[in-house]
Amino acid sequence: MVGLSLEGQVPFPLGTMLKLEAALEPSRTFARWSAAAQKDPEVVQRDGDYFEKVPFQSRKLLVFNYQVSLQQPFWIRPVNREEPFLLVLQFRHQVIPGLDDLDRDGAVVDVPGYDSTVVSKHQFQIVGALSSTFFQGIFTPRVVAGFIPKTTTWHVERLGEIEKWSLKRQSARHGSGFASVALGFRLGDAMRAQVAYHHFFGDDPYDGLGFFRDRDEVNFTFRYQF
Amino acid sequence: MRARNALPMLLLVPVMARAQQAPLEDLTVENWAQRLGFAPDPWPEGIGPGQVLDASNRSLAGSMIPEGLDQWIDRLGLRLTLAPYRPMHPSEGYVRATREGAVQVQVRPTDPRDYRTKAVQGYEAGLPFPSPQDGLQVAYNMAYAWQGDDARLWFEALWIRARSGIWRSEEWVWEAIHRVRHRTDLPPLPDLPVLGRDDIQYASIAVARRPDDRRQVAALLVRYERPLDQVGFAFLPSMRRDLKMLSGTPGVTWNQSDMLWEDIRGYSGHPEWYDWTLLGRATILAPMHAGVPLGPKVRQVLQQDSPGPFNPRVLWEPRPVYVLEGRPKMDTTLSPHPYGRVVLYVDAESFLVPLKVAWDRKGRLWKVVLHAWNESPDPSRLPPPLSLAIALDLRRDRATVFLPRVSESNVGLRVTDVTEARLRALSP
Repeated sequence: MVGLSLEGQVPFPLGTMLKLEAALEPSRTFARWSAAAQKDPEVVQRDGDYFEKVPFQSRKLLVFNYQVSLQQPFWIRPVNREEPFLLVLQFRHQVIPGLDDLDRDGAVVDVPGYDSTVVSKHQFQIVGALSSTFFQGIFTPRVVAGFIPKTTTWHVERLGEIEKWSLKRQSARHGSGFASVALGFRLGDAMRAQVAYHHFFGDDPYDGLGFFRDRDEVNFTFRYQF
Repeated sequence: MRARNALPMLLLVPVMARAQQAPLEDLTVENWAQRLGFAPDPWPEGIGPGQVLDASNRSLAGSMIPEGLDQWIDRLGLRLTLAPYRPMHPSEGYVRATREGAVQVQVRPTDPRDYRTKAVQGYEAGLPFPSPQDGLQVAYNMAYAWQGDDARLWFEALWIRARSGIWRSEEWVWEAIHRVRHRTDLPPLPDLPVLGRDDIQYASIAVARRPDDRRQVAALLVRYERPLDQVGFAFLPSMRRDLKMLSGTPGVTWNQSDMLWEDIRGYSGHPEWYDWTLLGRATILAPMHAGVPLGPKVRQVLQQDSPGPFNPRVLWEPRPVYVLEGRPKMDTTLSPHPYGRVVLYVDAESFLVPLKVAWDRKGRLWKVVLHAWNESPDPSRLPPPLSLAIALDLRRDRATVFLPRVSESNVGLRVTDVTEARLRALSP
């Protein structure tokens, strides 16, 4: 595996920090899509009986990842006279040149055993965060959101008791993500509190962040430090 | 004229033109104050060393108490314990560098709006302009004032409101190589080999020690020789990695305090970032031999009998100062500077800045930034230790106070003490 990291800055008045990170993995191991893996089971004999043994089948594929991050401080003086806002954006792109999205026999999955997590040739992640502090750090609001578009997913057709699994290309609107809103409080040197709401959404409960889509939460944390 | 109207109480004396190339062959530690400074005004009638000035009698000091400081006394209960004037001088190395190098320094003509081109050339070390003729030259003297080649400061930062007193506190250790280049005290002279080659002028690492949720938050700051943006790396324990960021951008506060980055030590930005006007010379009261008892009980310096929490117990002496007005050049719609203008009172012997007054963009008096120094334990080798800093917000009646437990200079920091690797190594 080889990696690269580059950082640069746009001078004042923009003051943007840019970061590029890239990694090349010549042979990352993926689990194969089970419908494809079961196509050619190995038959073994044990105690006089014959069993179909479905071995854990895998593929080794070349994977290229890169991520571009941007940090942008900016002022909205009417809203916050004393501190700037900080906007952080991240875009990640993963490319697996050896994959063909609709090639059922070659399909691989992110999570072994979960066929719904089929890996696409191109996968993207977009994350954004916005934060600032008010009243010299007493209040710290933060908004974070992320989205993972999904371009390839599985599709099931049932003909009686027969299930036919196939891969299907989706539009970029499909995918999963989260949105989080939090407000932190500082009370003196010892007490810290935070109230937050995390919302998850997604097309499929077993794909990406869609796995958490029924697990929205509101939490309140309080900390006393000595 | 606008500047003079804003300083009605101050007795300003115009700067007489002196030859920039005045001979300095006989400049020594002993005659430094006499040759390069000027005598402070005598005590006004009715006051003198040992007396205490407060709202009831501060008018006796007349023009020695400039605008901003008068409000601090009248509204917030500051009391000034008076002490006699004592001259100051730098180290033998700094004097030698001034003697040998000042004649080579030249001002380079630049566009008045240009804040990216270095305005001075030929500077090697020491005081750049022994006889400053204008605002830029005083600003350069301030930027290269003798403060030792490096420093270690272990300090408490206290956030204080008039009504509730101290409501937030932190503790930091700050190690800084002030002079990567233009060194005068510690070998190698005049430049450190590695950082100096990268055009770095200053590098520091600050680490938080307290409270617990800030513990081990660390920041590396690098300032370049040319007036470029400062660059920092912040190590966040929760992320277990360091992030590069622009740091110390003009107009940005230090750690959500009342002190802007550029307010540190009076002014810590590049001289080119402001448009400077030398208003004249004056004598003001300032804590240049403050007598603050450094150490774990340094907070006691804030405890006095008089009302209000903004009342440090320090000694004030008459100091000859250059009165320097500055207007920020780095002021855009996207990143507006909060200050409309500032006035710096630059000590005429040390070129340290004990007092700074800032007005907002609408011209309203806003902040007073006070720095105090103790007497040097060895004036020929060690600069006076910074013993107190206060950024006071007169509009909100609140302040951030910086109290050193340890304040020392010329401690012998190495290049490896201010690197990203050290930043990571400081993590728990």
